[in-house]
Order: sequence, then C-alpha cells, then structure tokens
Amino acid sequence: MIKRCSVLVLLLLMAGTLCFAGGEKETAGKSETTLQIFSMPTNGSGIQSDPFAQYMKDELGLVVDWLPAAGETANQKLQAMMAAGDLPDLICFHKINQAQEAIDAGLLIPLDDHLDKMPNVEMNGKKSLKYFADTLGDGTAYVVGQGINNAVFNGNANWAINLRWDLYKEIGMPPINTMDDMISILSQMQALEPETADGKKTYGFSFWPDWDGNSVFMASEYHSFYGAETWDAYAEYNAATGRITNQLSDESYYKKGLEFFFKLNQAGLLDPDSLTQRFDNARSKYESGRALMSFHGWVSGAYNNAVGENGKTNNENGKGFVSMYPRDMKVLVDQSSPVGEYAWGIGNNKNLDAALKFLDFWLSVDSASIIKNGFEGVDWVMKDGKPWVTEKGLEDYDSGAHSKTYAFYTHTGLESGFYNERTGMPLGREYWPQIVDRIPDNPVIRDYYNAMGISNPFDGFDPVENTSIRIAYSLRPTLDDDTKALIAKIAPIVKTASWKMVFAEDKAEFESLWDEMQEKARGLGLQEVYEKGVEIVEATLERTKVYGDTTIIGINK
Amino acid sequence: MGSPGKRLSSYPEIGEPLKLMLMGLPFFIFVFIFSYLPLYGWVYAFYNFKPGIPLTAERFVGWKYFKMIISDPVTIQEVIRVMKNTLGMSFLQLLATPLPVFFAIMLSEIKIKPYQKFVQTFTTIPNFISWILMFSVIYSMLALDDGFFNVVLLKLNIIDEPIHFMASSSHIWLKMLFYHVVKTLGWSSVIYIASLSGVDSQLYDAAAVDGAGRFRIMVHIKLPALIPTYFVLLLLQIAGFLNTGMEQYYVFQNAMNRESIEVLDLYTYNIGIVGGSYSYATAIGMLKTVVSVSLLLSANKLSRVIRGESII
Repeated sequence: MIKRCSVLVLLLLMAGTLCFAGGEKETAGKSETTLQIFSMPTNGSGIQSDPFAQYMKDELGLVVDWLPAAGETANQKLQAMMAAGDLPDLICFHKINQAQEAIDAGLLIPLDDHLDKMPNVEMNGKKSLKYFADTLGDGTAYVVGQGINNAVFNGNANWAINLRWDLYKEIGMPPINTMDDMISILSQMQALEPETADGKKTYGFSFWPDWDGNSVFMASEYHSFYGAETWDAYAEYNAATGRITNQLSDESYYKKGLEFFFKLNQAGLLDPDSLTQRFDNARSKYESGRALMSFHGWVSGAYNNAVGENGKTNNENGKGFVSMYPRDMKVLVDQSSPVGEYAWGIGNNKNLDAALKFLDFWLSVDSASIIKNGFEGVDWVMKDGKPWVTEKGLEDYDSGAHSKTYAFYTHTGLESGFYNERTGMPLGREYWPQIVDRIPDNPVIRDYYNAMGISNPFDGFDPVENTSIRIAYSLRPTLDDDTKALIAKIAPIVKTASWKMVFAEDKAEFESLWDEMQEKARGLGLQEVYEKGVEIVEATLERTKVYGDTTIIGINK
Repeated sequence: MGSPGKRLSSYPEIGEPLKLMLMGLPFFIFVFIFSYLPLYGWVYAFYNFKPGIPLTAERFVGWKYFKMIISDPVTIQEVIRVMKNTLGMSFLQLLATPLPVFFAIMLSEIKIKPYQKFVQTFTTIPNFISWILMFSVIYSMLALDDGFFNVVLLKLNIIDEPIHFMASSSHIWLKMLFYHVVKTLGWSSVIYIASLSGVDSQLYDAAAVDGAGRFRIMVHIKLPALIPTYFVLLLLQIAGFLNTGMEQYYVFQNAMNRESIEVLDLYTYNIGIVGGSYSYATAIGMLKTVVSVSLLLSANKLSRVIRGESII
C-alpha cells in the first residue's frame, strides 16, 4: 500500500514538473514583466484583465499591477514609501509638490538619459519635459506630464448634475436655475421613489469622507460649478471672476457648498452614512439606485449599465443618470496644457526597461486611442483618409459597453483633444464629426434630448460665458514646509467643523460652528497660510500665460 | 556581576552564568532594537525632516517644533484636549483591568468542562482579530440602514427612525471602553486562569472543611491568589498602555466623535502622517513619554502603598 502511494506521489510530482517546464517554455519567447504602478489619479487598483491590459501583455510583455492610490490617504502611502526610500516602478504624482519632494530626495530616475528608448515621450512630451526640467529638476527632467494636450479642442467638464432622468421627467422637468433648485427637485424625486426595489431607502445625495484633504472634498466639488477651486493653502481661486478669496471667510464658495449640503440634510436628502462610509460604499449605493444625484459621472454612471428589472440593464429599462447643468453655472473645464495635468516619474531601476516601455506607450497616441475609441479595425477604421467609428464601435459607445470595459482608465497619457497627425483629427472620437453630428442610440439619452429639445447636455449654454478654466495641477508651484506645518494643524479642525456643519441641527448651529472654526483657524495662523496661498495662485497665473492654452469650443461629457 | 577573570579562576563552573547570560541575550537585543533604537527617531523633532532625504542633508531647526506646540493658545487647547482624551480613556481602561480577574474566577467556577472551554475560546478569539475587522463587525451591527440593531429596533417599533450609532459622540469613551473590553477580556484572563490552576488544592479542601462555601473560596482563596499577578500585569500594562491605544481610535474616528476620541497617538498620526508634518508630530509624540513615565511612577507608588513592594 505504502509503495503504491509513493508511486502515485512520484507520478504526481513528475506530472507537476512537466507542466511547470511546459509553462516556462511558453513564456520563454517573450518575457513578461510585472510593473508596480502607483497612479494617484487612478481610482481603482489591481491587475486588470480588460482588452487594454491584454494588449499591453501581448504586444509589450507588460503586466501592470496598479497599486491602490486613490483619495487623500494615497499621499500618506506615498510619503511612507518616500521615507523608506523605496518607490514603486512608476508613480503618477497628483500634485507637483509630491514630485518635487521625490526629486529632492533623489528617488526618481532622470528621464533625459533614456529618451532614446522613449520616442513617443520625446515627441509628445517635449514641452512637458522642458517645463518640469526648468521648474523642478534644475535643468533635468525627472517627470513628464500626464494628460498632455496640444490642441485647442477642449471642454471636458469633470462636473455635472448627474440626475436620474426617469424620475426627473416624471416630476415634470422643473428648470434648474441655480443649484438650490435641486433641493425641491430631489425632494419630489425622492417622494416618487422612496425605496429601491429591494426595499432600501433612497437619498438625494451620498458622499464620503476618505477623500477629504485640507477641507471637506465634496463641498469643494460644489463650487466647481461656479468656477471656484480650493487650493492647498485655503486660497479659493475663482477662475470665472479672477478673484482670490479666503476659503474660510464668510463670502467663500466653500461655505456655500457646506450650506448646500446642510440644506440637503435638513430636507432629509443627504445620506447620513456620508459621514462614516468610504468611497466604494458610496459608489455601490449609486450603482444600486440608492442615490438620485451626483456631481460626477464616474460615481453614478455604474447605475446605467447595472442589471435592473427583467434582467435588462437600467438604461434598457429607460432608467438612468444623465448630465445636466444649472443655468447660472460657470463650470470648471480642464485646462488644455502641453505640460499635462499630473506627472509621471520612474521610481527605481529594478525594471527600468519595462518602465520605459510602459511610459513610452502610455504617452503614445495609440494607448489613449485604444482607451477612448477602442481598437482600429474593430471599433473604428480609416475611411477616405478620416477616422470612422464602425457599427460595432457605435453600438458599444451607445450601450455604454465601451465605457464600462475601459472604466478603469479614467485618465490617459494624452487628452481626447490631442491632435492626431495621422488621422488629421483630435484623438478622441467624441470630437469626430460623425459622432458630434448624431444623436446616440441610447433610450435614456435619446429620451432626454427629445424631451428637452437639445442635441447635447451643453446645448443652450455659452461655451465661454458658462465655463471657466481649471488650471492644471502641474502648473502650481509648491508650498514651503512652514506653511505645510501650519496647514497640518488647521486641516483637522476645518474638516471636523465642516462635517458637523453639514449635519447641524439648525441654521444657528451651522453658523456658530463656522464662527468657532474660523476663530480657531485664525488662532493657528490661517492668515499667514492664506497669504502664501495667494502668492501661489498669482505665481501659477504667471506660469499659465506661458504654458497653458485653452480655447473652449463646447462641453463634452 | 563580578569581573569574569576572577570568576573564571574561583569557579570552575563559569559555564553556568555565561550560559544564562547568553540565554538572556536575545531578549536584550530584542529590547534594544524595538525599544531603544526607535528613540533615535526623536532627532527628527530637531530637524526639518523631509521623507527620503538623509538626516545629514536635512536642516537643523533646534527647538522650533517644540515652540510650535506652545506658540499659540489654540494649539495648547488642542494638546490639552488630546491629553484629556488620552488620560481619560487610559484611566477608564485601567478601571477595567480587574474584569479579567473576575472573569477568570467566574470561568473557573463553571463545572461543565466543554461549556467552560467554549466560553473561554469564544471570548479569546476577538483578541486575534484586527481592529479593522472588529470595526467591520461592529459597523455591520450598528450601521444606519441595514445594521442589525437598527433593523431589530425598527421591526419592534421601538424607534421610528434608524439611529446613527457610529456618528454619535455621546458616551463615546464608554463605547470605546466597551469595544476594548470585548476584544481583550478573554485573552487577558488566560494568565489568571493559569495562575488559578497553580493554587494548591489542599487550600480548597481545608477551606471546605472549615465550612467555606463557593463564594468564600472565591473571595478568600482565589482572589488573593491572583492579586500578585494582577499587580505585575497592571504595572506592565500601564507602562505599555499608550503604545497600543491608537488603532482602535483610528478606525472609529469620524468628524462627530473626533474631538473626544483623538488620543495622543492618533493626534500624532493625524498631524504627522495625514498632514505630512513629521517633525512637528515627532515633537508632540514625545509628550507621550511624559505621560507614560508619570503613569508608571504613580502605579509604582500605588503598589508600594498597598502591597509594600514596588518594581522600581
């Protein structure tokens, strides 16, 4: 018996060895390298299995392990990795001061030395490399931009009132003149659908605290609709008016944002879990139809393609989120900049060749084109010297299958508006005449356009009057350490008070919390911080004159 | 220890103390690496530390960050608030230290062995679960709309609106203490259960002959048998207490309870790691040592007054 068992074990072992040897042989031809990438603008993480990842694996021999790097905690991870002197293969920095710190610490590989291996980076990132060499690296480029643009096409707004169209239509499509109108609209919508199909309570809005930086993240998102943006040092720059205000002063948009959420909560429209849940919880609530409005398509969009009644998607059932804008908006649109929005650096030389290969591919027209348009020959073809979306491409575009497949890649190396010399068109198909001139074949969107008498969500708005230009992060100079130390003291107080204000019992409590917070922040040196913030904004505006370039031709989402 | 040369000549069996010392060596090394070496990190409080840059290249700033702690009244208030939380919750946890003793005694009174083992295992397991998981369990029990408690209370018509337990700051210290006790009770009682088994069974028999009932045996034999162990553990816990207090508060903190939950370690973390101000956080973190030493000295004093012996 024992003998027989050992023979069996031996056989198993031999079979295992054979299998193993076979696996090795297969991969012997093309070696596969797994790269660890810490990309701070990327929301998801893990090794992906979508067609883009497959393409990188097959064509370039690259497997990318995207490390979790979203939200404000990502900065803590980055700092810890820097303190340990051990950065992953590639890092996409969210803010320029992070890149600066890594360069100062000597943790990044100079890109200049390897440009011969990165023709795309050299060609598409020329101005970006020069900018970062001049501003961060004493003449050497250690980082190159992410989201590079070279053309005037633009108008990608990250923000919109993403609203459940089916419910909005049912309540008679009341006009959205200002953001405050949303409160009564959402109340009516909530009354129509107080519970989801599985009996869970619905809310007007749901958000999450884990992305809070120096203040409450979502309150800052509110003022994006009005051109204002909060910068690091409590300076609120309003791109629509050119005004700089103290974020913690009474006339700030930040306070208006908090007030908006306070009103939502008073009306029973704000998910009370907003205070304790995480981003993933909030997103899955949207996906399951538990919240009726969001500021970001990438938060609520999952609902559209989620399976609803009768085994069909919600969109097929005529339910779904569409983008709308308040009439009085001055929504921020991304600045088109040849410098890029964020910055890529190579963190070590363990997998240097693979890292160079990835970076070069990432900044190529091809990579952005796959993510934006799908594959040439399948999803689009060249017809009479012009790019043309195929029937399959259109189908996937309209049904949302394409955006679902590539949902992971919220950012690309080159922007949609990037002029593609080969096709003579901007890179993203949303700018191709074929797409611009048609109405999408999606029941919800078609119904929305027909009912409102529009041909796109931005119809009826003025491209210049109703937008303001959001200055790329990469153009913002860094803060000094003393100011950062002061901010570290002020930030927890601001965040705590802000959340309490949102959930305050009444307006009097709301105001008293705000006053108390102001007083504490002033006591901790807010004025000093703010003055630094103003300096930063002014210096950035100077840089924008040289490196920024945006002409708005319309908003696309 | 005398000079080795002399010992070598007068005691042929020098091997013995040397062997003992060698046996102790790993622990000296352990303590050195994990308790003394980290003290070197205090130098960061005197430099303008930036991650990734070697200390030699950092800027020396002297007492700047210590001055920052007392530079303005708001910061002082913040530090006082954090100290109050730290001491308040440490004190509550110290008050809870007799619980494992009672638990061990009660457990030893259970006569059905399988049941006793079950209770012991069941209460010990939480100790091996991380606070993150504990949080998930508690969250799923207390969550707003599908949490166990809210569902039950709603179904029983005791409440009309779900209660947001996690976002409430009322009785937060007691809640934190409760979670702490749930997690550690079983494990902390293990050592007492072991000491109880070392009690000479003749004592029980003698007491029984003298007419002592179960309760008397508990009070006059079991409890006194555990007191020495209790005091040693108490002193150890006081000394090491502040080192372990952060994770729990980190996972449970939110805007509503942060002001009363933020202990020194968490405050240091929020300023240093979240805010990225390492040097300043190091300076604040050093305050912890002040608290630790004062707690240890007072416990030592207590021990001397009550038991007539002390460890320092």
